[in-house]
Amino acid sequence: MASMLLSQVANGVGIGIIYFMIAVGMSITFGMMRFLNIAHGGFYLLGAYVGFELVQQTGSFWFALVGAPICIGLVAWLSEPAFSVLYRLSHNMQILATLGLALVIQETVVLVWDTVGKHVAAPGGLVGAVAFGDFVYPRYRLFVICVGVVLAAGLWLLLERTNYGAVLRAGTQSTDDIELLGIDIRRVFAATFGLGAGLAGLAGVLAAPIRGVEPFMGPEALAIAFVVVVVGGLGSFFGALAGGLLIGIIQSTTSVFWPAASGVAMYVGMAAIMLIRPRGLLGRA
Amino acid sequence: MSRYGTNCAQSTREILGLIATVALLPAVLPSVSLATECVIFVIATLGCNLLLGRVGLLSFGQGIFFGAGSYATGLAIVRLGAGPVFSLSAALLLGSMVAALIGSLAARRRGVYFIMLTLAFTQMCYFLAFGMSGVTGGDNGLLGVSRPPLSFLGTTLLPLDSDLSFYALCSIICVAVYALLARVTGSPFGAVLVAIRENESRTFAVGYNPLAYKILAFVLSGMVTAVAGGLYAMFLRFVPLSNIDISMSERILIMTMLGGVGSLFGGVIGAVTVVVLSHLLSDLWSRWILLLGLVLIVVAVCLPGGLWSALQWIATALRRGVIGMSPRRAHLPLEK
Amino acid sequence: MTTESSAAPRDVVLRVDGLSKRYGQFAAIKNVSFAVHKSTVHAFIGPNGAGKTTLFHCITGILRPTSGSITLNGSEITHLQANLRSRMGLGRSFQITSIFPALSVFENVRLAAQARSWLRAFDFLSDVSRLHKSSSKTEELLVKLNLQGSSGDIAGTLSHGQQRRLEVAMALAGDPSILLLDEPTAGMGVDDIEHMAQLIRSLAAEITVVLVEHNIPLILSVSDVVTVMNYGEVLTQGPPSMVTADEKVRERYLGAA
Repeated sequence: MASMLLSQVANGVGIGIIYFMIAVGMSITFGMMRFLNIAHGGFYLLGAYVGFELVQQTGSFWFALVGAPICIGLVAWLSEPAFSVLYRLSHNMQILATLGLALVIQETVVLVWDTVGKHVAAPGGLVGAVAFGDFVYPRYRLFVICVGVVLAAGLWLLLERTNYGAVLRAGTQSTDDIELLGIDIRRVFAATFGLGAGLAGLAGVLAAPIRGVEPFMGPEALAIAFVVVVVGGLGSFFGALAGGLLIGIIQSTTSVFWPAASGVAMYVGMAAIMLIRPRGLLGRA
Repeated sequence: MSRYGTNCAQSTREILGLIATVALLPAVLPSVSLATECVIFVIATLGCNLLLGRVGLLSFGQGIFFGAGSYATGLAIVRLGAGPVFSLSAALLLGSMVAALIGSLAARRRGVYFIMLTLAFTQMCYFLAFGMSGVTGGDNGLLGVSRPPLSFLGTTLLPLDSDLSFYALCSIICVAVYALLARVTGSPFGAVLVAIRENESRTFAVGYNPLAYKILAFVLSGMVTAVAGGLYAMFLRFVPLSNIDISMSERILIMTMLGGVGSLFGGVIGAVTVVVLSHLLSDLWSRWILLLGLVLIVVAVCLPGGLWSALQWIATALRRGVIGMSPRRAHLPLEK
Repeated sequence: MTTESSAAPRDVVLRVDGLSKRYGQFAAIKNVSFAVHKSTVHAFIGPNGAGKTTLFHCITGILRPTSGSITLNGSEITHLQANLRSRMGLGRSFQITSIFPALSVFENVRLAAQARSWLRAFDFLSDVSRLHKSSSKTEELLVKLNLQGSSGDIAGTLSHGQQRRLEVAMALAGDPSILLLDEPTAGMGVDDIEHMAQLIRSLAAEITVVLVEHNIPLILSVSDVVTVMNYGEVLTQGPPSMVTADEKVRERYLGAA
């Protein structure tokens, strides 16, 4: 029982890190630009499909793992000026426009890749499981956890130790102050938008061998991003990390005790946290 | 009195317009069942419009109420062999209860948090319906929903088996719901809803409890949307799981916002447009939704008031054109 | 203070006892006590950051005080919600204009008047125009605040002075027994200020007025009692003549201003 629980907590961390990657871009985008992007799930969807395509073309999962997120990130970064039309709209109209965009992305994926789901195999070295004493754990999931930990550490260094990070942290507090300092907030934001999209794309590639690839996985990712952000607090990097991990662990431990409820568990957890701490774990306001 | 006189006249005009639309739809459209689908979604947009247009609450939770109504009606017919009045009342009751619960949780938060919560709760209810397959039929849907006749004390008043008679039932309910919500819009309660949209903290300071009003608006919206869902279950003769998923919420929102929330009538235009277009275009090109997505982006950027505001703009332009030629003549006798 | 209020307890409309509001180490107001008497104008002055607005927020229920008590017409309201205080006869205007900008001037005031009969406000079936009571109350207030000419205008299009007057009309629409005005003349032109001074004086005949103001001449001309605050504490209080004569006040506030 103890090792089963441990393996579910490990699973939860793995899932949670993918959730964090899905949510963090949307959260920071909103924090800086007050722009709510319903099409954010589309980056996750595109990441999974571009990853699938790269695996098909090159036969290398590693190439897809690096190539797909960069690809999504670049496209988002370069197309950010087109999004700026939406910043001045009301939130409701932002939602209508990005809802339209989400549909466009989803239907384009269907046009190119069909509605039938695809399977992406984990690379040869990551098939099977490893055993630590009597604790057995799938290699691929262990790999996801490692990628996630390295990535979270890297992002933390980027935020805390670089100029870009300082501007970004300040930017989620008040963009006006940054502009007073003579920094072009739009360039910082375009880069952040690209980074967030790339992370969602990476989550898509990483999730592909676990859950498969299908055209309607966008809304699911969006719902998860929302849960993570409600739990963690909007506009905060660490909020997204804490929220993602907590939700991931809640979800996978429920599947031990009450498998039927594991789909619903994260939403119940969200409602509970919202009632206890209305601002989210690390939210300001 | 005169201050609101125009409002009353306007809603009377709109109701007459709706009756005319409802009467013409089966004749104009290729099939009665297409007209029925239009009318059912008009009801759903009315529920959505109450929240979005009046209170300013953009809810991704409308699919929950629609789905809850579908299951309530479907189960009442399948399990209990109930008639339409009982089954639709069951939808109304379940819809209002679910809406009270979701509303009292989600409406505590404002702005984008509210929006995100409603979407998350929709996903939760989808998983609930999926998991409770013993009750809802899960992925296969709830099968065997019939259309029992409308009867009173054993006498059949209206058999609903024919498409036209079922359409008549849907239309009557649609007009009744419209009249009710037009009434609510012009009431003291409706005035407070608008005040909340305009300045929530001021509404609180003036002496109202915004949360109570928001939850009541949710309950009303949930009731209306659930009745639409119940009718849809009878219309399809089964309840697919997709009645309660995020895309159903999105569908209702898209219809409402495309039509415009400035007036309840916007939803009528939005629902009819989307339902008819989806029927006509999906035969031509199965990926027509891509075009819908592009249209939504254009509407959001260029026409925030939706199709209704475009129609109003055309109407005033026409009126100005017509009256623009006549005023001198009209004034002449007075000036003499 | 204590002797005064115990001498005529029925006369006290609002009583604040030992009120404090802390944010961590920092005390925005500390141990503030005073009593406001019926049909008087009671003014609060003090430099920025003296705690006047925090005090107002505690009295109206926007903020919860850390300790102390607030009594309105004999009943304790320290922990009551803002909307309930409003229904108990506590009206307020905001320092930063807060109205319903997209609605007509008439509708702004009517909404505030409608809140008075709160059960009616849940009525979702009858027409608003049938609410004769709140409509006639509104007409009356628009005349009183010299806004009758712009009754049908959209509130957001009014001039700043008109919006300030609209705020006061909304506060009065709830039939308050006590009216709290937070810098009612902020940003107003000279004519508007004179009109506001007259209004405050005329109000004192029927209800009690508490105001926070920076305009010293206005305060001295309309108030019956002035409380001077500094660093969250009451420096002194009394009739205007007594306060202006006070050395501490001259030195710390009037002299500086």
